[in-house]
Amino acid sequence: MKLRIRFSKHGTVRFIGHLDIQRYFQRLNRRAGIKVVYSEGFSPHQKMSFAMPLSVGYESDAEYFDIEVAEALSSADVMERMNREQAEGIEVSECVKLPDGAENAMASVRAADYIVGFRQGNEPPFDIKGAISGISGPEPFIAKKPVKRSGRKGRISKASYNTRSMNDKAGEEMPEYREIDIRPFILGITCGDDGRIRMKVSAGSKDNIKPELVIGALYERAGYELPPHALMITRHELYTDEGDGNGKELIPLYKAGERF
Amino acid sequence: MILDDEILLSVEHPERYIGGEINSVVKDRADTDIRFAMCFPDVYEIGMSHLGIQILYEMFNRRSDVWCERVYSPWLDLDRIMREKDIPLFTLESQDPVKEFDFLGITLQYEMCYTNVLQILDLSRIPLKAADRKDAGLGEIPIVIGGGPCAYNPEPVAPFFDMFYIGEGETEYDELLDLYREMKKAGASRTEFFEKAAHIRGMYIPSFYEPLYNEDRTFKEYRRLNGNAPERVTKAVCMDMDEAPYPVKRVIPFIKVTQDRSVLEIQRGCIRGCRFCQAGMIYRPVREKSLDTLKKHAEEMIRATGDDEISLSSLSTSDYTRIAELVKWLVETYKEKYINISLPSLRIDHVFLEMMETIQDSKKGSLTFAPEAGSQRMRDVINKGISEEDIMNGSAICFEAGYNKVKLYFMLGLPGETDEDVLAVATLANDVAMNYFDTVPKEERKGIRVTVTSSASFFVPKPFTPFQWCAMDAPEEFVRKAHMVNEAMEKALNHKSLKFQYHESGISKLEGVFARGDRRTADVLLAAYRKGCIYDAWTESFDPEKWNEAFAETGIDADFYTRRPRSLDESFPWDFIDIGVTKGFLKKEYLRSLEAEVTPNCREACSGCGAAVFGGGICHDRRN
Repeated sequence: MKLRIRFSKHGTVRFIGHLDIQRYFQRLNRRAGIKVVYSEGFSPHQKMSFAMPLSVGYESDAEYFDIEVAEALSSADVMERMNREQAEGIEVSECVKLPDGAENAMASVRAADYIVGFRQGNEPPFDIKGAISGISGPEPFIAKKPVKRSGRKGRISKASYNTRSMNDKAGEEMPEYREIDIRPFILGITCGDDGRIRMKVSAGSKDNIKPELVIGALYERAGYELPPHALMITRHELYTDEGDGNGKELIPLYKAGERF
Repeated sequence: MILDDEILLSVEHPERYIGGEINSVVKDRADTDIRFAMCFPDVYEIGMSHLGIQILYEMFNRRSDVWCERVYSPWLDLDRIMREKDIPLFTLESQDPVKEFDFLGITLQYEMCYTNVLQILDLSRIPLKAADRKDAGLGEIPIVIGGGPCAYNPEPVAPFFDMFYIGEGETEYDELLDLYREMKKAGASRTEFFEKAAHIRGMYIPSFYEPLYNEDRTFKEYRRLNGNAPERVTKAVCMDMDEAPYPVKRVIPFIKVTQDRSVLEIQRGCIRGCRFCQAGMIYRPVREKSLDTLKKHAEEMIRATGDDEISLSSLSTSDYTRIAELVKWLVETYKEKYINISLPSLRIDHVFLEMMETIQDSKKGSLTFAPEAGSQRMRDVINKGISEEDIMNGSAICFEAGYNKVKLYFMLGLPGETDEDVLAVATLANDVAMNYFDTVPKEERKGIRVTVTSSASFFVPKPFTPFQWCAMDAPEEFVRKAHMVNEAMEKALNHKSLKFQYHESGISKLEGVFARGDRRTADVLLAAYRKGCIYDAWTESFDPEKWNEAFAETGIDADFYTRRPRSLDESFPWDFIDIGVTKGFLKKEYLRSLEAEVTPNCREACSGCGAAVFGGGICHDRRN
């Protein structure tokens, strides 16, 4: 039986990295007596797959992983068992049974909701609400996406991207970026009266857009530079799409299964 | 939290500083009389792996009047930020400044963490020298108390500590904490508290003793400055291991730490008597835990942690009387639950192999032998009860069982070592490799070459060992010997199967100074710390230049402590500590080592070391 678990991550646990959260849940499953199925082979491990890594420092209302279990009583029982063993700030908020042949959590992510706030003293020095309405049209919205160097210096997979070094200091490993039009990947963006920005952006293995990238591009457009650590980011939900062919509809990841 | 997001996001592994781990203990400040900050002066991943602190954490927090919290050395990146931004050192659980605590307990596991002790005090804004805190009231500045194996020669760090707890923590802390609570309530002074505490077993108050030296700079004696100071301090020792508190709900770190598993301490002490080994002497007599206790602990630990591995802990696992029975039970109980059992410090023989087979039938990792010396003569000198035949038989058994990686641990610079003994390290490694080819027929090797990795550390004489009288090799001599081994290995017949690595010799020299140092060496520590030395055990931060300057400026001669053979009648700064094992026994063992005479282990025969005075041990139990 394949289960999909959604959990939230708030407070100081936002500093726990992705791999450590995986190890945390492996231990938690054992303490909670969740009967997770183990892989065969040389070093057996729990059959467990996480949807999408969360950057260190982000909070989240909706982290996901799938586990295969030998048996489970009910969604409520699994959630109750897990939540009895949680560290402060982590809580399971959904547990659904996936239909046979369901796409795994990682592969099915298409979009994510983020809520972005500004740390005190780091509020935008320009009218960001106005800037957001300024990008509502179909014209390109250029962002500078950092590129991880893989292997040889300056190697880039797609030649069409305009690659430059942000800093030419000799001998120092500096990040590079490519300029891309992120307009097609922003599925929605608003700024509330509380000054917080809510956005729905493409996410997943393909076209993954980080909220800093969007805000950074807004700053750039207004002639400013986004200072490091200025943002407080919460991932609010992860989406997959339903249906076939065109006109797919985004649904939260947990809606791919049903409570039992 | 005391650190803001900007700091936490700019340092390596912010999880080191946030607390909140599963099983960490949070209490109400208002409900506790005594706040105890327990410190391991090294980085979180090392400190969190230490069993001793876990035992004390569990034990203290069982008391409703005490809240014990953890503190570790901030890593170099955060250390810098804390100094720049003037952020005080804090404990993980409450994130409160250490300075507000009643006690700061610091465990001293190795000499190379001594500058980190100063880092801890400094970042906590506690005056570095105990003399500069003597007028503070109880609860105003924490009582800085040291413990752990290095407290058996506390003198190099004595000026920085208010007191030391010498021995095993399980037995005397209740009395000490009760005393503190009452005296704090009564408004007693710090000195009044120390005067009463000095009467509790194992407590050493350095300010009550003034070391005196002979004209030739050797240590003479202590002049007692306070009538309450006992002439000798007897180590605290826990004689009922089954009743002793045990950390079955260990704190589970979010990040991967060095010892990231449940640890089952099966016994304390060691029957072997290797002459270089301090632990083998200071933890005498041998005390085993009962099988029932161990099963109970294992079950509780797994339930409370969700760990997927249990590791047995002791100085010599194979010597636990019912080891085969214990391992069988562990494997049968936990195999279905995918929980691994790991068995370090095993002697490799048929019993071992049978156990390994029950543990895992598919994994054939590497095997570790610790011959410690290459030649049989040298192994007899150090009383390492292992013969070349044992090693060959052991490795043959393992090769037959399918293992093809062997690790060999050696020490270079052992007392009386000749070049011939040094070369024997390479010969032994080559013979082990040869043994593989002799044991495993070509068609069964599957194209895999055996790898024999030898690693050498440099021998450092330690207090309370038969070698406490010996001179230590100079760093150049260490390096010469290491190169000699390396060359011999390159020329060996099976050189393609041999690997050799050795440790930093400069660090060994410092270790040598502080292992057998007296109170004067504290000046070097302070000078080195002022120059910026911390994390000396870490190659990335160890700075031998600064240390050389510190020695030069303080006029301390390192060679006096490391290179000088001591005469048999010399008094040592640590002689005032009574570990049960007598100086006479150690002397006898030293003299036997000069003749390469082997001394039987405790199970074979009693050699009258003196530890039976605590009312336990194999010889004692046999007599009663």
